[in-house]
Amino acid sequence: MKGLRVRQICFFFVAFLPVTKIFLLPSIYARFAGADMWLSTLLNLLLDVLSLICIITLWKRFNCKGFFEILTESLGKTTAKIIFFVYFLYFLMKAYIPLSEQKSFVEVTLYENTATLMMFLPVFIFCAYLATKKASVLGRSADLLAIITIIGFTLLFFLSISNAEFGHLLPIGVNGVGKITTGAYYALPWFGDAVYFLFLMGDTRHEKGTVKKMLISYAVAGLIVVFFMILFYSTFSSIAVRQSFALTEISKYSIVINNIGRFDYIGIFCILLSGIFALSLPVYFSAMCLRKVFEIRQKLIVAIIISFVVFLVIVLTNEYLSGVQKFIETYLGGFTFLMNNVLPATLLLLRRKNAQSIKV
Amino acid sequence: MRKVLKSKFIMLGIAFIMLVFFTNDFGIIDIEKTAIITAVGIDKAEEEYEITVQIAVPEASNANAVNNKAVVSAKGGSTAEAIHQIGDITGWYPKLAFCNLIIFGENMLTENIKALLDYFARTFKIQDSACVSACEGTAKKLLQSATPLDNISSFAVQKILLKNRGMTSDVATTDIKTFSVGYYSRTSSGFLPQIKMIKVSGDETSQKAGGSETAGKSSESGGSGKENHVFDASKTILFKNGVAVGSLDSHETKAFNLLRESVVENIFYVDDVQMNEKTINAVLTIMRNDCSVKLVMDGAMPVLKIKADIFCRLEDTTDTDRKDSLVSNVFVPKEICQKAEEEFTNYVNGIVEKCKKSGCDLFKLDDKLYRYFNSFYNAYKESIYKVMKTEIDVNFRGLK
Repeated sequence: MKGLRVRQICFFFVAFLPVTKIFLLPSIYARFAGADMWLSTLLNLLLDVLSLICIITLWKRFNCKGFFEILTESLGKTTAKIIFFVYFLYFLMKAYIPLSEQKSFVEVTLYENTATLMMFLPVFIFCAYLATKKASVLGRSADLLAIITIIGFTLLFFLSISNAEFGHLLPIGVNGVGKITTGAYYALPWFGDAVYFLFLMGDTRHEKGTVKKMLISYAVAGLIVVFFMILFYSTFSSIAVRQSFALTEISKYSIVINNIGRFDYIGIFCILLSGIFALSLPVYFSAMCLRKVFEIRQKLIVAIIISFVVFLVIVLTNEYLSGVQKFIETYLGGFTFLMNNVLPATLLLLRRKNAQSIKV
Repeated sequence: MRKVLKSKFIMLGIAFIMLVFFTNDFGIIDIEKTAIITAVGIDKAEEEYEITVQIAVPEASNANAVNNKAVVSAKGGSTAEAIHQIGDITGWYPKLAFCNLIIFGENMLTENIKALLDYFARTFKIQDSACVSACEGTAKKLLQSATPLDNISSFAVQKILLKNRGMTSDVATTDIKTFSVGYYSRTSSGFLPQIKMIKVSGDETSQKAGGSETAGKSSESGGSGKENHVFDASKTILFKNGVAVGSLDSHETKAFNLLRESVVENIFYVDDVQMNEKTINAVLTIMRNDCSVKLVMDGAMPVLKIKADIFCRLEDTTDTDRKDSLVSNVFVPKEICQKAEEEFTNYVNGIVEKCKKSGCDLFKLDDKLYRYFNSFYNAYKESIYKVMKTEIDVNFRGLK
């Protein structure tokens, strides 16, 4: 019996997709696309939706088999292992961004002056712990965390909407297609959540109306991000570029906060809770890929090794964080586009021999 | 065996995490070494800046506990330098997380204050939702002043600046973020309320006990016996490119606030109303305001359309007529409404005129031009007040 239901995949998108895109990403968008940053976000999400459609089509075509089985059946085991190894490297790179920005966020905003690198260490331990778990654990976590994510965002949106001046977004598209696509390009490393389903599809049970349910849930998760970007620019406009950690900034200008105090931290902590799981996902999937490539059964050892490698990279690049992130934004956009969008689309070329696809 | 090893590993992991966390005191600084700064004052002192901070001194609480304070000053070439000087001379760690007020002294208004305010806008040590204001005289004097309203004068000032029901349109309150957004926008304009100290009877010794004065590097010695003051912030200073370029009086400030935000309850004074062959004064309570400031294009001519619908009731009059005095105060006489409309229109015209003269774009017309009439932006940017027509439509009404 497969451990994941379609409902859990839907909640997975809602719980984890928005929470990693609200730290540094809004200011990066603002830097390149200005008031049209929400259009860049929409473009990124559209690309991901197309990838998701490709992946679901592949899943349907191969009778809900796992990705590794599909590749083995179509291209042979060696090719399957090569592709999984490339994805292992990709997830390893993808793990760096959310972990490093969450680390900076915690150090800068939650501690005033004495935060040390060791304070963030438990997160890596949690990453390693989660990477030893089955996919069904992700599903059960998503069931709960989707609600927590929605509570967090609802509270933040409710508090910040009164201070937002939506006129700042006008005139729409004035920055031109060039700046909108540039913004979308530099944001590519933050996207690609649809690819996660590629590695979960083998564990997902086939149900009726899968495509509709998944696309709706992805759209809901995406709209949360788009609305966050709209609120962000409507709140900060000319100084949006320098708002590095939008999450704690956006809601504090409400008169209610002025009178009562920073109770918006309830929403922020809700999002951070879901965020801990979301930033562990690249480590989870890179561990999964490595186990498949080298056929390792010791989950714990692989999880510890990968978490330690990411920890080590973050420790070693601690003083070059901005430079590394700029490098990823500038030079690895193409690689992420390849892994997030081109490869899933190319997979549609795979055909199942002597069999009919099922209707999902 | 594997299970035992696994549980041992988990226990060791938990012990390690606890060691990391509990030996660090969760990163919290000892409160006895912390200066909880409640307000910062910035003055110009020759070539340097003088920063004065008001510090709340936490003490063991009891039923009669009052807010104790210390006022410390230090000089430096920049805001950050002066604040760190305060840490150096007091031995306290200057904690700005609870600072909700930044005051610029009068001598600061002739230079670009943004350079100084940027420190507060960029650092995570202070909330950028903290109020910013200017003051008459020096900020240091204001922070050192005694007030019967609170043992800590900045708390009394904050009560005036922060929006409370019934006072929402008296003070043009702004914060670090709003001022920064205005500065970096196309308008590069902003405003700050100006705090004025008003002497009242009594002195510091006649109020609650407490209030120690700590002399810093360059602080003036002070002590008990200082005169009591209350504060008024109904005047507004206008800024262009971070430099003060003009001001609004209390009437214009009220009109400006009514145009830019919703007010639940407020007072509007109408003087010298000709009614029943007599001259009376009236006070209106504004119950609700529905105002809009729009920029429209009449062909190629920009037109500023200001519309104000103000629903009010009569609060008080100096009318001695026996018959009129028996009418319910929810009905506002036509003469009072007309006079109120006339005065309100004059105040708005005054604001537009001051914007034109000073260059301060209070109505954000350059932004509006860019957003809604982008093709005209290059033609009219930074000169729109000089070329535009103004149409003002004001309606004061009570229950009919």
